[in-house]
Amino acid sequence: MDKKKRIEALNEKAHAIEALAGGEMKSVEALEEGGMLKMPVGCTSIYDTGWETNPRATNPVGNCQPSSHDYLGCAGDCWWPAQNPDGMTNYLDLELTCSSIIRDWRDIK
Amino acid sequence: MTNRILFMVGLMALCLLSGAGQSEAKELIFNLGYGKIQVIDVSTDELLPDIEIKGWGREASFSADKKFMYVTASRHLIHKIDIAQNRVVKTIDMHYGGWQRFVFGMDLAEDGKTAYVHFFSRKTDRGEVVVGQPTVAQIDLESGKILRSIEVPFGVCYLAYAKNSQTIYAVGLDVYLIDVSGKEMKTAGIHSMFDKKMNILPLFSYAAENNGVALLPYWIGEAPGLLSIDTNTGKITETPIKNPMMVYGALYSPDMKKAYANMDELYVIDLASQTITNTEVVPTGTTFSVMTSADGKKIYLQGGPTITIYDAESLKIVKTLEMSTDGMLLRRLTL
Amino acid sequence: MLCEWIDHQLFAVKDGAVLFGVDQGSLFFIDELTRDALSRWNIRPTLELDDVPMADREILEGLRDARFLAPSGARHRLETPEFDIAAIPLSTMVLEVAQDCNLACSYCYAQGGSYGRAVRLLEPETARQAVRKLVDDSGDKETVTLVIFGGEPLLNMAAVTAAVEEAHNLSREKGKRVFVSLTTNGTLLNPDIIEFLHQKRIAVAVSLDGPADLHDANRPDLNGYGSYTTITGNLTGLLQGATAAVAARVTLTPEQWPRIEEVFFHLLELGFHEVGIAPVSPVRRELLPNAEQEEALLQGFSALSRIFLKAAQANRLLPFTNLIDLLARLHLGQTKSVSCGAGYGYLAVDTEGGFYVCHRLVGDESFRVGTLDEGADPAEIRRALDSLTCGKQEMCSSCWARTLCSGGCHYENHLRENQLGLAPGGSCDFIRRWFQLGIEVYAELRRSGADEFLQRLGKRVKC
Repeated sequence: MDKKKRIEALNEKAHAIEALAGGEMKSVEALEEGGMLKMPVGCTSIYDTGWETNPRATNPVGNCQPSSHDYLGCAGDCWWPAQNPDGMTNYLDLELTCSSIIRDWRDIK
Repeated sequence: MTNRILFMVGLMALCLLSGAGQSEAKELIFNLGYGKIQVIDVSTDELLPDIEIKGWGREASFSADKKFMYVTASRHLIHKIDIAQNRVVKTIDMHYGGWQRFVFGMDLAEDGKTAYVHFFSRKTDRGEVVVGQPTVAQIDLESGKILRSIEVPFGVCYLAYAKNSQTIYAVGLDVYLIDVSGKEMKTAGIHSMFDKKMNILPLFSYAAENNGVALLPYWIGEAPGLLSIDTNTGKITETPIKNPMMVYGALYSPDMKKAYANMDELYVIDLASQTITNTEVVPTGTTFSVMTSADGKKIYLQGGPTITIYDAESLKIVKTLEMSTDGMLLRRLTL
Repeated sequence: MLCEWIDHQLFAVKDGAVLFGVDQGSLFFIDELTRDALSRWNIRPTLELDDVPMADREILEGLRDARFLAPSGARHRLETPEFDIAAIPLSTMVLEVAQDCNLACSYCYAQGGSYGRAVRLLEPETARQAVRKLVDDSGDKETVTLVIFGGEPLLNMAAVTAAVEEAHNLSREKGKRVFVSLTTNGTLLNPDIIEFLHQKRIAVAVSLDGPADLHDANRPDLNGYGSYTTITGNLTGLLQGATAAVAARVTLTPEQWPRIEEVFFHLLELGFHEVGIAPVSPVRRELLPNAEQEEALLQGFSALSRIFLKAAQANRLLPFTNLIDLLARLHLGQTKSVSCGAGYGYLAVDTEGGFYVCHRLVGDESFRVGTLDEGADPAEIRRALDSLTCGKQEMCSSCWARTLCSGGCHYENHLRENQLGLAPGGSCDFIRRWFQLGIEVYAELRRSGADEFLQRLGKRVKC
């Protein structure tokens, strides 16, 4: 049974809602004002310009340098552009195994 | 002879007293880390014994008598730390009653027994997420119980409390003023930022060490600026900065003529001309929080596992401290 | 999962139904099966999705994805934000250059153009001051709109010229676009004025109510003679070489409503670029329609909408302003939390330099909110708007059209409720039926594949 045939989005708001239901990535697209899918920059979508957009011609572009400086800060309650432990839901005791990322990164399971 | 001995005894007593006085005028900088708070003795820039905490420290507020420091950790614990004993003496958990509450923003009330906090909340109901409206609440620091509260828009993550006017400044997409003088908390106005396309990062700020002024960096388009919320007068000021800068933290010099701001660089800003007068690249990379010594002669930058200490006049590095924990925030207390 | 229904409204269309998400402004087409399932399950406020039999569950999951069902206890309804009036830049100013008129229209809300006061013309210097105020208070707006209005504005060309000149100078100076439009009865247009309007690219709206008999019935001059012939005589020059849109602004009294279609095409044949039709405001009790007349109005709009639809399917735009604006909003799914811009960046200025929340409320002291010298007072604007909207929230909160209408025209409500003493909500039924008509036309357009056409329409409405 194809839901698509049963329910069809008509206006732009309906398309945006449909995209939201399609998953997180699509939701970003739906909430964009238009154009290409844009990478959110900054800690969260609230603080979406200006920070962590390393303006210099140095790596890591758009990130703290070295990236490790940002890792634990963002493991807690913030946004990071790579997979890292989520300290508010799934990795509540991260600080017990890793309190300094450069020293302890091997211990992260 | 007897007189002479008495004199000597008297002199020794004076020395002891003055010695005791010196050891009491202690200035400490706290590095809110992961599983611990590290303490720097500003007079020597040596590390004192760590304070063990559960979770990762995010914000702090000192009691008026300077005996206790309250620290939020993992966004849901509030630790009460006895500074003389160097340890946590009580912890309250804001996850209770079926709700998980995540604290972003805390400032103590004048009674010393309660605090104003802002939190997001969620719970699961039969496997579905239910999200609560963001709330600013006054809580009892003994029990964590919510005494009174008011809903605020999404996006708040910093609170500054002005005792004179009994007003909370909740900083999110806009600055929301909350009047707490009456029985109920009520909204007392908005300082608009979002409509002006101001993008603010209120994570590394501390009014207590900054003459009562919360200083928050913002951006409009390509232009940076500093938003100040003076908790003494209630005045909110936007100061655009004429040169480009990328900053997380900001703090005034003690005379409030200059501001220091930091991220990958340390900037010195002349507030009268709104220009950057000096800048140095931080050799170890990105830093988050900036703090000065109380006399304003030294600047401390917190970045990952290092704290870099600068001479405020010359911007020469006087010391680099390797820390045993990463961290986000520095706080200062003069005992 | 325990779910609850989100506020929605169903409209039957061919092969199924259109489902309108009230708070989101979303429009979905649903087929017959989904419609059946919906009607079987939405009779109770909550349902346990896991307990629903498989066949229906999949359909209901589709409705959940479309946000018509949501986990129980989640927050769905959008709360009306309190706007900080002081922070909203001025974007539109209606400038009453003449509180005087050379016609004596039977339905005039401005009492012969004077707004119930002594006849008065705006000083050219005040006109300049007003335009400067508009630009100065426009914050970061790149475009502002100046509407030159009256009475009959062409009675005071000195002020019109001054305002337009100031607008052009300022737009050069400040790098802003000042869009100027002018509403006139068209009787005083002459070659010089027409050349001025063309040269300055001023959008003109001419008040013309259709064929001579209809127009002249309500729009006589001061001696009682009809004005149709004079106006149409001036139109050729205005339309030839026009550099901006020339629109017909039609006001029809209830007994004229059966002839809407005829009026529309008559004006189109005269060469107007757009035609907007307004049912008369009940400035007197006699102008209130009866049920039969209201039905005729809807039938007229409906007939025009059918013709619009046919044209659109051939990718032609029938310039029926009322429907175009509605379709554009429906296309975007735009919802409103206030009914119009009055007081929120939209203000009128009278000939004495006083600010009013809306041009139709000029002259009524309780809606005066400041002066050009001192500026408009946000607290006064708030007070004026609150006096117009208070007590409506409860009535509106149960209406499916609330996010499209948001309370209706302030002036219309003010007339009905405060001046005629009628119960609030007298025009709600008509408004809802008009929105329903728009939704049906939109759905049919969408389903007949007029995507490009609709996108063009969507661009007309910006937030």
